[in-house]
Amino acid sequence: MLGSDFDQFVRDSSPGLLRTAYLLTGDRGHAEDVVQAALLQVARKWRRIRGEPTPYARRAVVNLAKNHWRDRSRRPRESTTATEPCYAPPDGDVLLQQVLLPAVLDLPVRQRAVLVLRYFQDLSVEQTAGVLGCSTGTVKSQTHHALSKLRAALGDLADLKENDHEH
Amino acid sequence: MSTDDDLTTLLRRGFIQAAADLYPDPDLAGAVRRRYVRVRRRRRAVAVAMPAAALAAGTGLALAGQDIPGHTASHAPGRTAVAVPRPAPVTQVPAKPASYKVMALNEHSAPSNCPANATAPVGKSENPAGAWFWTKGQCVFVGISVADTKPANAVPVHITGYPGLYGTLKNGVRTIYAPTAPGPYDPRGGWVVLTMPANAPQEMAVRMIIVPAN
Repeated sequence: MLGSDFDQFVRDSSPGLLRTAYLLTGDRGHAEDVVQAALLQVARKWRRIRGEPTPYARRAVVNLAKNHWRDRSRRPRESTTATEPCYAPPDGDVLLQQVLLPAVLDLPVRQRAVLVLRYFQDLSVEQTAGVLGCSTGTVKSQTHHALSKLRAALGDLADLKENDHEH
Repeated sequence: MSTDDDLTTLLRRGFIQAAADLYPDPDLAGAVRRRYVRVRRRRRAVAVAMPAAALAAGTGLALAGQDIPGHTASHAPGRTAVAVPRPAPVTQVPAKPASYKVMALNEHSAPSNCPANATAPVGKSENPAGAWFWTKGQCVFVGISVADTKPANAVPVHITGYPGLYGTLKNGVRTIYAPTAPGPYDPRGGWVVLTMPANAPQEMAVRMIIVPAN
């Protein structure tokens, strides 16, 4: 059975896992489902996990979030009014609210995962590669591609602003 | 946005702001615990509901070569002869007995044991009944048979995930006994017997040939 050490682990790690899942899925409800499913996976292997369980839980969250996006992309759209995932609007920061964060959600899920792990979780390239199960070279290239796309999105905004000024 | 540093700084700020108001359910640990218990209960229920009949009846037959072209599977003698009185088991069965069955090997080789030109790392053997596998450049043959009881001098063999195994070591031959569940042809249950050289990797052999049935 699970001991009190598991409860303590859930209390300590769940805020970070929930926020990571939210940034990966863009939907609070799905993020909560993902975290609960990931913690269930941890619970089932609790006695066999050697060392720190957080990386294992983090990997489960990322994989489940990736599955969520894969399932979502395979499902036919039920309605044209279905709401797209989006982050809660940051207070007063138009650049973040209208451009950067929507652009993050438009990234392929693997690139988004790289950005969230590196720039939200503050993981190193090596740690990120460990979570995603890929090489450090892949992490670096995915990061490069993701940042290029975000830069392009911000560039489009700058072009629009310049055009507005000209008219 | 002049540099990557500016962009990543903005990104960090955006992530922190977007996720700042998120807090998990205070009873998340309890919810996970309840789901964990439900999953365990469901697994136990499935294990109990699975008829042990097929396992006991199939014991030892999976490797008997029924998949080999031109080969007639030979059933182990005595397994279906219920009229013959059987001696009582030498040792008591544990309260919740472990049970195993022989793994069905998809890769097999028809003719002989440890074929020199084997294309698979593991295979069945027709005569004698058993399985062979390659490890560290050597072929290991493991004989597979069944028995009603295990010898009194058999000692417990400890392999993680495989409780209830016993073994003997005599004259350079290691024998592993794995219990099987009772079935309609074998109401008391019995033992799968793996026989191998003393220097063979017994854990690898067990893991490659038998699987827990409950």
